[in-house]
Amino acid sequence: MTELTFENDKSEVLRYCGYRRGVELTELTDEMIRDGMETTNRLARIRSYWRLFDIEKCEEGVALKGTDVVFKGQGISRHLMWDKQVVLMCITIGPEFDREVKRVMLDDAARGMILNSCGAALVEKAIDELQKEIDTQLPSGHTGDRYSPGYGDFPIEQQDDFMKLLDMTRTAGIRLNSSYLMNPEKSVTAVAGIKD
Amino acid sequence: MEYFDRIRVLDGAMGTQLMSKKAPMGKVPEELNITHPEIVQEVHKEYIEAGSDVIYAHTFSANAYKLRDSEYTPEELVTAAVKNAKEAVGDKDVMVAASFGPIGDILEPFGNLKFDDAYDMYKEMMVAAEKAGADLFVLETQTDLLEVKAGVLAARENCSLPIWVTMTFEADGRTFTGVLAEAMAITLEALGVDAIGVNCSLGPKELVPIVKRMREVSDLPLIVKPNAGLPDPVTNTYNLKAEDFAEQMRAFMEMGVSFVGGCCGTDPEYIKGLVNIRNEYKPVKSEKGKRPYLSSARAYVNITHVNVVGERINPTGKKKFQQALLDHDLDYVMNQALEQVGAGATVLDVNVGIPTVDEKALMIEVVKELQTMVDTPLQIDSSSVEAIEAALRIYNGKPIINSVNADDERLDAILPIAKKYGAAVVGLTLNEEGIPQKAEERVEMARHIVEKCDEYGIPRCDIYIDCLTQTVSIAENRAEDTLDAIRRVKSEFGVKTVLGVSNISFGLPKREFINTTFLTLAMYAGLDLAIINPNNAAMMGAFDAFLTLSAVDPGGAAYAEKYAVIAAREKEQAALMKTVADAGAAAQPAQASGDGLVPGTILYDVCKGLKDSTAEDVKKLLETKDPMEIINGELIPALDKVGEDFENHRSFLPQLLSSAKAAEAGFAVIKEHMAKNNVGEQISKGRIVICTVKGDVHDIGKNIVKTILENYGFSVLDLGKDVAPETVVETVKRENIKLVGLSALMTTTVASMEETIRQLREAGCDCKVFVGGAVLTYEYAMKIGADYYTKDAKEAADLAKRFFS
Repeated sequence: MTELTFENDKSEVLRYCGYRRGVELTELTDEMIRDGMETTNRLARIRSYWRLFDIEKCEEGVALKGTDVVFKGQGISRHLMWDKQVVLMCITIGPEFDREVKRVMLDDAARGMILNSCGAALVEKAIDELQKEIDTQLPSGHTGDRYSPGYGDFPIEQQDDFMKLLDMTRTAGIRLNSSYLMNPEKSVTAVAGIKD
Repeated sequence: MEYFDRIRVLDGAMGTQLMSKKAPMGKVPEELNITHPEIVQEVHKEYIEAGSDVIYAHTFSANAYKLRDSEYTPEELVTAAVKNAKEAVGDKDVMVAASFGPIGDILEPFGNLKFDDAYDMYKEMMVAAEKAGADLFVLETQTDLLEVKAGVLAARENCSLPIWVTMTFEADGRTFTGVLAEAMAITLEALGVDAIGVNCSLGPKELVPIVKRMREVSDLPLIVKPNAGLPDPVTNTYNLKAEDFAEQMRAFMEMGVSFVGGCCGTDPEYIKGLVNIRNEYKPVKSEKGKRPYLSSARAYVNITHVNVVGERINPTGKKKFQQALLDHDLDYVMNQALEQVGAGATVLDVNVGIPTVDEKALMIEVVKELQTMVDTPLQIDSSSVEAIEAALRIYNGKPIINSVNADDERLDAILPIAKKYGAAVVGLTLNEEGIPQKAEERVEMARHIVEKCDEYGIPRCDIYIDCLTQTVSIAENRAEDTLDAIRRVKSEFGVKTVLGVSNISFGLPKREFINTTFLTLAMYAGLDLAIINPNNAAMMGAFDAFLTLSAVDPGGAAYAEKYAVIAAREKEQAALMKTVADAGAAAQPAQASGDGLVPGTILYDVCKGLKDSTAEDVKKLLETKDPMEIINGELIPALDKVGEDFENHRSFLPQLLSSAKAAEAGFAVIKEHMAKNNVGEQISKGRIVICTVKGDVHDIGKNIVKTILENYGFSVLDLGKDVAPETVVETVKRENIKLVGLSALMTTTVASMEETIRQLREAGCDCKVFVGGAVLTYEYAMKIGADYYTKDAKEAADLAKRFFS
């Protein structure tokens, strides 16, 4: 998947800005959301990559066959309890968006925050779409719910394994810094089991 | 090495081959050089048998960062890798390249890797590779041009082998970090690398347009090493077969590239395919010659007609700017940059020289931030050779140096560094005796500068002679001397020219008339770079008109587009003013809106987040009311209402921020009014240092707190993000700060928050610390030794109010 654009969902954007039900939006806020969605659609360069792996359970967690990677923790073990295969995926909306948030933030924190929320909403939506696309390309079955490093006891350090197995820098332009933060900021990695 | 006698074939993928040989995958694949040298050598031998003229030693990620958990050092692995390659070569006529991929961490400000650390890591590998007998270096699969620059400088300053660079591009001609293919070629040619190109990325077909774009702007020999098409996620294999790959590679050989090879998914069969056809073609030496390019990493300008250099990033004579620099308030500087770019500047002059500050450190800080914010190439403006060199070192592109003059001392100090870093240079036609009066004397000064540049190997197209503007209100100064000198240095030396114009009208009334006319005359004389304030509409008007009249903008299309919008806006504003005036005359009482707020009041303006209206209404109130009365009776109560709405869930954060911004506009009007009327009263309610702690690059929360605090009237010293504890301690001591706010988003960085607090206490700073961030709680905050926990910006403002009351 290289090209993907869609309408941002206003209610999702509001959710990411900490919207509280019943609050009346001012005209200005409304305009900022429209502008933010438009800017996000214009600047997003969605890039993603995924790979299919066979797995087996082991004492520490879940081992990816043919690699030396073991996903550790009880959470991930439970999450993939019934699965024999998984898809590892990564997705980003690209660096241009981050730059724009930074620029907008300089002059207008509210507009910057709303724009930032638009990006968060977009990358979530993009990974939903990616999963649908993966499902059409799988030899059989479909992907289940996603699970990411940092959820529960799934160590954030395992971003390194996603990095290695998906070769994320080459395939999607996602890099990790030494605190395991992804750059571009609006990026997601996840694993999902294959269901029959 | 000869680059244009015949097409040389490189090797194919290393990783793909190691996998097919079932090599055990350790923590870092380069460990195989020591644990299984026979497998690595076998891969090399297969490529040599297939006909590779150059093989890449298996050194790609053998750097200190990637080896941090390995039992081997970079030196050990690089040495072993080069040895393996050389043993595989034996006595054959095959060269060994040491290959260097990205370090793996991200350079500041987006990541934690420092430029100097990247430099040291490349240096460590390069020195070992040269010692082990490598024939050349190749920086490959790179996506960040600044990281490449660290590698190129490491090679240049410590070794003597040729340097090749290939980067990884997407179909749109940018790397994943946004580096433009042309900007890469321009910057690296200026830096003096030996060959450039593309590797990895995509299949050959998709890369053709990108390599063409490099050829358009550069005469360097080209390298192409694509993937075997595109990968299939289910099987993890690539979709092009060896024969299809070779067919697609013909396009590059026709174009005249010097080196071809393969990246991910290619094997010796693919290389054989290339060897079989390469003799049908020959490399073509492109001879377009040097051209007047300037570039950042993301954009470039070809100075073929007059361009505007924005002059505003300069503290000389600007109190506010000086204060911003003293406070390290980079936001202020960045706003100046964005405003000028928006107004049409295509180069930005950067000067941060004020007495009592460390200009070199400040220059680095500002240039680093500028190049993440704007795409416009920079003109590094300083009298300090040190500051200039420091900026050139970390500048991600091809900049201009401002400036040298005709004094040998200055020329001999600056020109070598201009050459080394591939920068263009401004040459002022003056020397220690001053500015010569007559045109021919200035031409002679220019001649001296140009000759010196020739000596140091700086191309004529990278020399910008400044023939100097002198105030015409002094009778012996003649504008014509400047204009005549511009014409003559251009025709005699084939150089470019630059001029700051506004001094021309010094001491005269209605300066704009003189300035615009002089600018027009200078452009007509052939001026290439006009250093002006692009926010001045009349100057930009003269510039835009000139582009139309000189047919740079054929048919005035760009002019029409720009000024149609401006004309429409002016008309709209005039209509609005009339409506307001009419309404004022009718003097109707304003109607309350649905929520009981009355339009035209400060309360309404602030609650609705209307900053222009707030400013207007504050101005009106100032006619009848005392400034402090407006602050305490209007602005503060309005902010309190907004805060109350927020707390009671009648509003949410973006609206709180908009209201704060509206109030800020009101405060600004009052400050200006008080300054004008010399009201000495201090309206700052207290000074607070805030920052995002070391290791954390999330600053949105911190920025929000800053905005709110400022709008409650506090002075905020914002140290930015990823701030070392030492910096916080040092600032708190120096500025005698009593309240410090620390922000951290991640569990992993709360530790450095704790460390910052510890150091503040240890240094005996008499200050209180409040902390906030997504993962913090009150208990957690107390545990790490903070004095206060604030869950959001509003609480931070409440705390500050209590604290300073």
